[in-house]
Amino acid sequence: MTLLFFIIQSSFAIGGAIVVLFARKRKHAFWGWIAVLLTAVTLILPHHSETPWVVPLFLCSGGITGWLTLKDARRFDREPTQPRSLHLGISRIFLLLLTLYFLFSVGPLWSSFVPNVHLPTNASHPDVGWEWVVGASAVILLSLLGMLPLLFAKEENA
Amino acid sequence: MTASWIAGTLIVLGVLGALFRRQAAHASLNFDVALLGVILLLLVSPPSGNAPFNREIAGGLLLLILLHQLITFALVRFLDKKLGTTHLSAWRNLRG
Repeated sequence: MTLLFFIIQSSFAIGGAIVVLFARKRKHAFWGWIAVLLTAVTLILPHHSETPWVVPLFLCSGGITGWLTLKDARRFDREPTQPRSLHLGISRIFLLLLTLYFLFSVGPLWSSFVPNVHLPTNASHPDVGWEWVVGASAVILLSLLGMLPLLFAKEENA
Repeated sequence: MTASWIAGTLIVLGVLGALFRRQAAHASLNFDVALLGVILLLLVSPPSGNAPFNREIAGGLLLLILLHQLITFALVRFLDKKLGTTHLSAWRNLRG
């Protein structure tokens, strides 16, 4: 049951993030943001007793962010004047590589920033059972539902 | 698969969106998804000797999200009024 709940939570979080990543319209991005926000709230609820002020702050901050995203959405969501292309541009690829380099270079320090992240060592091998494989596959498949707005946008454009 | 795993995925997806989206509002919302991942990572990890102020930093980041969205909202309205577009590359037209 725990695994099932975790699959649902992961799918909502990652699917929502993918919707925010690919959505062309603010209305869709808003729903993706709400999915990510609510999943984050459910994940921090077990820690609610330690910091009771976090959940109201979470909902308040996220709610105002969502409202600002939705406000004037119709006014700002115009059809693009230039044709859509998948070309990323060399400067953006360099920026992505630089970001990845930064993230990986601070990797060894993560355990000091966030104590519950256990980096794999030579002594400890991760236990990859069938439950983990099935769970990860289900999460990835369900999360890909977030790609649907992109496909619809392509069909509309075609 | 833990909450830290979800937080890490949110950070990666958010950073990708912040780097590659072209509309100001969408790029900032993706940046906020990445920040939400960082906040989640800080909140689900227990405070220890090395990181005693996790909760306070998370609260500060939540307020930063709010501030960031308010600034972006004002910026998008300004860009739309001044240049008639909310495209990030429109900034180069403001030179001079």
